[in-house]
Amino acid sequence: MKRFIALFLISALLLSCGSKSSESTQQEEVYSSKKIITAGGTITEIVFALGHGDEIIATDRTSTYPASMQSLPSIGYRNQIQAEGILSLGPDMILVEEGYLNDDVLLQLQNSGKEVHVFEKPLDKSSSISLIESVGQLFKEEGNSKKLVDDLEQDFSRLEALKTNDKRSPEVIFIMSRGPETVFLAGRETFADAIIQLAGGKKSPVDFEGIKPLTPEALAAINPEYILLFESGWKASGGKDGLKAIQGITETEAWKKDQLIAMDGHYLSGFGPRLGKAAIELFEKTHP
Amino acid sequence: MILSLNYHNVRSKRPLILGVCFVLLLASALLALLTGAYPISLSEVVNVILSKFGLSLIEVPDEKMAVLWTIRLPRVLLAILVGGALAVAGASLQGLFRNPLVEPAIIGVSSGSALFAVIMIVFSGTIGWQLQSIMGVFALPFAAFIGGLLNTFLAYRLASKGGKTDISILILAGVAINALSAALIGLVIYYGDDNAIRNFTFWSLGSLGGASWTKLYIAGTLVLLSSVIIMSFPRSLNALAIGESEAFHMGVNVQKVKYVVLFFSALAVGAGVSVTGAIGFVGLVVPHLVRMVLGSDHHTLLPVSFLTGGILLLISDVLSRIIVAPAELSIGIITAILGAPFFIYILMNFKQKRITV
Repeated sequence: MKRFIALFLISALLLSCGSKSSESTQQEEVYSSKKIITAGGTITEIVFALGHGDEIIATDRTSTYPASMQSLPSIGYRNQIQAEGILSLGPDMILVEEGYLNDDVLLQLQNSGKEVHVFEKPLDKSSSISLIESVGQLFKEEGNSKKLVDDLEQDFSRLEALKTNDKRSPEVIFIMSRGPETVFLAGRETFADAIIQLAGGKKSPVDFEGIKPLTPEALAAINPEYILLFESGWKASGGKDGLKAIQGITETEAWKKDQLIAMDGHYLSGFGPRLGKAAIELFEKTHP
Repeated sequence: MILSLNYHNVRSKRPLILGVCFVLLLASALLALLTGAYPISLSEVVNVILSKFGLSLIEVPDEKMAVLWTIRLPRVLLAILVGGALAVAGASLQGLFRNPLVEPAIIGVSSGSALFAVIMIVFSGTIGWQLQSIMGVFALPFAAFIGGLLNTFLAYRLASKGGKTDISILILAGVAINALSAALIGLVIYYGDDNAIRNFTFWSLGSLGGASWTKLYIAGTLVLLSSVIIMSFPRSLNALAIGESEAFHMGVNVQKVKYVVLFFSALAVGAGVSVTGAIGFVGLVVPHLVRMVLGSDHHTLLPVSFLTGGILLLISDVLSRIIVAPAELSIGIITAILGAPFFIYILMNFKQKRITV
């Protein structure tokens, strides 16, 4: 018994000397140029739109806009990204979309003493605006960020006008195909549900949240008027001929009327400065 | 076939054997510190460690300091502790069950821990919250420990009859328990969102990538403590290896030792799994190798297994980081590639002649 007590005392001692991680929040008066690494396409796009794209030294695979970003060194994609890979590129500042990296990786980055900023992933107009504003504050670019927000507001006024003139509300579903047997369908609380509703479509017909695998026959049961995909998925499946292999897809109204829509993944799901334009484009495609 | 040395010979050489293993462990640790996406030289490693004690010789860039101190060092220490604990848990369970095929992952301890860890993470808003408010940071390793313990007792109950465990039943029980745990992990993950929960691969094949000082203090302490407690029962385990009634007549408190070993094996494995996911075969291969070379005296077997387990997991981790660099393989893939053929080899020997522990 004594042995146990001694061991527990030792372990208590070990625990008590745990290190406290210090988070550096630097508040500077003037923004000075830094070497930046971004993780998340929307943040990359905003940094670029604010005029600081030339400071980005590396970014992740979802940062496809503007096209010049694709030629930068890549840190990888989502949960494959390792902290060591990011730090080995020698950034001064790391800008991360919330939930994009593994929690462990984010913690390692924060503990490395680098300047790390985490931004909420926008899923509607107001969170897009606040993201643009908070990135603007970080770069001391309030003037430019105000301009971006004004443009976004203008796009939305146009969208509202379009919706007032055409009150139809089609059923649009978003799918990701991983081969003919596996189809992922976007449910509630997803970027797809949000942008489809912005573009005048109906709320997602399924009662689950997130993007989940779907039994193929369910496609025929939902019977959407429009099927929305990412361009990358459209190409990977081999276009319309390739998608034919998906069980139940040929039974849908969308297929019969040839109403399959492919749009750029980041443009559609980014919810950045071009959110209004993407919503207008989707509206026009679903309201012929 | 390597000749086993006898008890006496090995005991007298024990300090030397432990010394050699310790040097090998340090060498492996150094190798692991030097390997990775970010190139760091030997002198820089030494300098970073020295500078933490205020004895820096040359200036090391902050980045290297950060990579080495916040990423690699905790990872290396975690590999040593978890590898050591898996090996010690394997060695002691093999002694307890008097059976060379028992291993934390094979009889379902690891998958049970992973299942409860996943449940804890996914339902942290409901069930987990109460546990978290009581136990704080220890809630996750504790949940994993309970899961591991549950599966250990389940396997033990299914396979034991009158103080004897039937090996084939035990292995089959392990198969069934692992299959059920894996299925339930898959089911629970479906309810979790992608960010809150690591993927299925992590829980079933493990990774040391999430190592941090905080996790090391929490899980590492539990892992080390459990291993040390198990290692403090070599005499009883030696007696138990002969047989339960024999051990009882030799004055061993059989029930107590049995429960202590089961309990602390589950705690060591569970706390480890909650940070690294389930890593298989370490607890099977390491004690076997040690027994082949040094015989089955638990005085030597347990500490040497701990050090060798640390070495094996460090080397596996290095391989997992360089084979598909800059990405990483799950460490369980490496340990399975090394361990599964070994398992088959043991089974073939098992057919030819009954190996005794």
